[in-house]
Amino acid sequence: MNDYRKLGRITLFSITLLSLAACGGPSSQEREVVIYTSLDQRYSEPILRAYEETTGVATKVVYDTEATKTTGLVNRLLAERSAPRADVFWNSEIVRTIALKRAGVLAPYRSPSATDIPEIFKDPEGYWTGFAARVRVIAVNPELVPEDDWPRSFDDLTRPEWKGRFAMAYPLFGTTSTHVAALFAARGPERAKQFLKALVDNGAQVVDGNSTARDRVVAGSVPVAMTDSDDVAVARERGESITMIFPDAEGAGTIVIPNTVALVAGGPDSNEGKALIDYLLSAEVEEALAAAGGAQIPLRDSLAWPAGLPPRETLRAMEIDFEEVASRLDEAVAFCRDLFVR
Amino acid sequence: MAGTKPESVIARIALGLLLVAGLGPLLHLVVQAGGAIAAASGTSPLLDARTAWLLGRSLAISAGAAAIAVALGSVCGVILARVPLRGRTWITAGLLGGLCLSPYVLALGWLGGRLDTPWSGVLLASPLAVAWILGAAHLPLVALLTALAAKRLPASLEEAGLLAAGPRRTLLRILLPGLSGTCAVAGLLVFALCLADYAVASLLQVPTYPIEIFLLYAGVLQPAQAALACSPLIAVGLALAIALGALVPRTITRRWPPSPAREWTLCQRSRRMGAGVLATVLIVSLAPPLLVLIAEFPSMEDSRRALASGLDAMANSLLVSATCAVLALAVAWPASAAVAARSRRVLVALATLLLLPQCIPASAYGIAWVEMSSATGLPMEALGWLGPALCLAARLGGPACLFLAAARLALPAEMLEAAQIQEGRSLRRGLWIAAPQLAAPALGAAGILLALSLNAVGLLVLTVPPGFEMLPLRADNLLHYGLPGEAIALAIATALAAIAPALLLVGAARMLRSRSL
Repeated sequence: MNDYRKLGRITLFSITLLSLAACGGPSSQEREVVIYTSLDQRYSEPILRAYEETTGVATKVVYDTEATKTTGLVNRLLAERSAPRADVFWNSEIVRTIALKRAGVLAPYRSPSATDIPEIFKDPEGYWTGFAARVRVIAVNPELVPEDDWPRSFDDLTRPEWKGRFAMAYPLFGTTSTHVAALFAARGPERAKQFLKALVDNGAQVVDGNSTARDRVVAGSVPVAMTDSDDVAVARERGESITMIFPDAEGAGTIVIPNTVALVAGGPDSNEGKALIDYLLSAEVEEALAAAGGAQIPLRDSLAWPAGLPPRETLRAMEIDFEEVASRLDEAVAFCRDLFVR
Repeated sequence: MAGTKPESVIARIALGLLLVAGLGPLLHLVVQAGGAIAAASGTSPLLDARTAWLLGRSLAISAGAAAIAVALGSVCGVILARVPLRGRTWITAGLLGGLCLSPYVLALGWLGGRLDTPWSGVLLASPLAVAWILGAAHLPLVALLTALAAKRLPASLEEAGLLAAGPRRTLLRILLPGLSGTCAVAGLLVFALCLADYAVASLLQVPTYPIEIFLLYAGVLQPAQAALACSPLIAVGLALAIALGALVPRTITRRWPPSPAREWTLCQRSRRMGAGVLATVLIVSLAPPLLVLIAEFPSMEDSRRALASGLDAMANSLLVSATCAVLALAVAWPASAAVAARSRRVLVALATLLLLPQCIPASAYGIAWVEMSSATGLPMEALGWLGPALCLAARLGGPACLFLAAARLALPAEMLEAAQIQEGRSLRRGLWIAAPQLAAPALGAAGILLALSLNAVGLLVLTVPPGFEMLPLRADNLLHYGLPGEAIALAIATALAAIAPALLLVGAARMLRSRSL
């Protein structure tokens, strides 16, 4: 039995060592803030590093992934509800932030940094605040389609000349699902359903994500695609042959989807969380995100328009109530699930 | 017998812990599903026509993938075990390396090659393509298990067969029937792993049941409904576990009479043919996507940049995966001894562990794990990177137990008997006699765990501690950003980093073994 005692001691020693190594976090005097973000790491990491350098507060980050359709962190926040580990949630879109608010995951906080952000992009109860937006656009391969023939509206894609010649992401996740829910809210369910059916009837090529839709245009597999402005901006920065149009400038406009930031209820350090939210909502961060590869659009009119986007005057933002968009999401996704059978 | 008692206690405690950790999330899902049924007051059917069709399709894809993996993998395994090929260690290491590449990466490779050919695009967006890619990705798992099982078949039978009937009939009448049990077990394991696959089907745009479950989590945020949707998979897993519990005692733990000679091969003269068949199988199944990936390999400067910025993520991933492997092997070691002793209870527990957690999609398992640990007050914050390692070990511990048990059973019976006479105390016998003999397969089991855990994106995004960057998450972000080359450079560098120490240890183990024999 001596052998087993020795083995027991070795095991105990190993477990203690492993635990000490795993728990070796910062000292109690070191300030830190925990943030979950679904914005691409490429853009969010420099912003958070700059915050660390300026304030000396360590940012402990969990980034989301495209493989989990950038909703892995939303589910993690829901699962951690009874013992939250995050102070701040920085979402690259808005609808699922509203869902988290409704699930009781978030706490209200009105940041002084957000006074000059338009009210439409702020929750009336202060649970979330929008900043730096993306836009749903039509991506075009200019080598395949002469400028005069470019589609100017999402409805143009239901016309015979585009039959089978456009791609879109599977509209059950991400900004495409937000887009569809926004159509349900803005046009009413019946008209939105008719439009979506017309897209399917016209041979929409449904792909895995917005970046895949963009890649199809770049590769020339299809001449146009419905996607996000940041996806096209990244490809343009790499010198790919692709451009974008802000659709429906003379109609109802296109949907503008802001990043949202929110305080997590019961997080480890809400004061540090509030300080980080103040920083993220500053004009400085909007400018940095506009200058980064994704060309995110500042919500403050006073800030410079990102290079690489079509002119500001060609963008007409769809007038929508984001709370209603969030309420329509389940109905829209359920409809699309049956319609876009792959 | 006095020496085996404490070993058996350790085996039971270790397996019990793994059962609680591994099946806890499933119990949580069952409770949640019960809540969903109660809330719906029986109005919502568990499976409507569409979801039943999707479940049927997922079962068919998994069966196809398992059939492909077994058909190709068992051939590779037999060749590795019986044909005197040069550099078998390298081939084995290569197979482990292939396992380190996620099926998702292989699917990306196949997709990369299809852009110029519309017909292949149509072919790839089919359930058949999903089954092919999943089967090819899991082929190394079957090959390694089959090679181990082939080592313990009685040489005398095959020698007699060779003398009387020739190599072909010996292969068909003696070797393959002797390996059928192992092939069935490996097939069931691959079936379970493929049943839960989300990534390949999603990338190829083939709707499957795990995608439907994922939609409930990620699309409409209805975790209770998602848990309810997991119940048919739990039922399938349970049925498979019962089948396996009945199958294992009759097959892989079957004891053969001691063999007088072990150093021989099925076809001394067929080295060329064996090498040709092995090369053909690997080229057909794995080479096309790998060639596409290599063609997209970035320039040296880009690779250096990717490695410099991803070094932390690589080191963290290797740390978590290695810890997961150590934790699972700590359980697998005594459990494999109990399997070798043919303890029925241990076999049933092993079968359950082996199949049930694998049948559930990683996202559902991970969410249930986080909810369970939050609700029970498990100090995830204090555990740091041990948290994801524990979760991965709980989910993947079963395959490690199986692999190590197969290796232990492959040890020559005479050697074990001699060891029993030489060293009465079982722990010392295990440490000083069995350990050097089992070093290589234990590393193989660790390699399998490393491979499966390195690619567990769905679990890691839910369990990784804040501020702890990990490779698959970083690679996925690079892919999304449009930098597949950098993602590939990171993935390949990590696979090499994982294999290099294993190769060194295999060499060391061989030296030790040659001295001890």
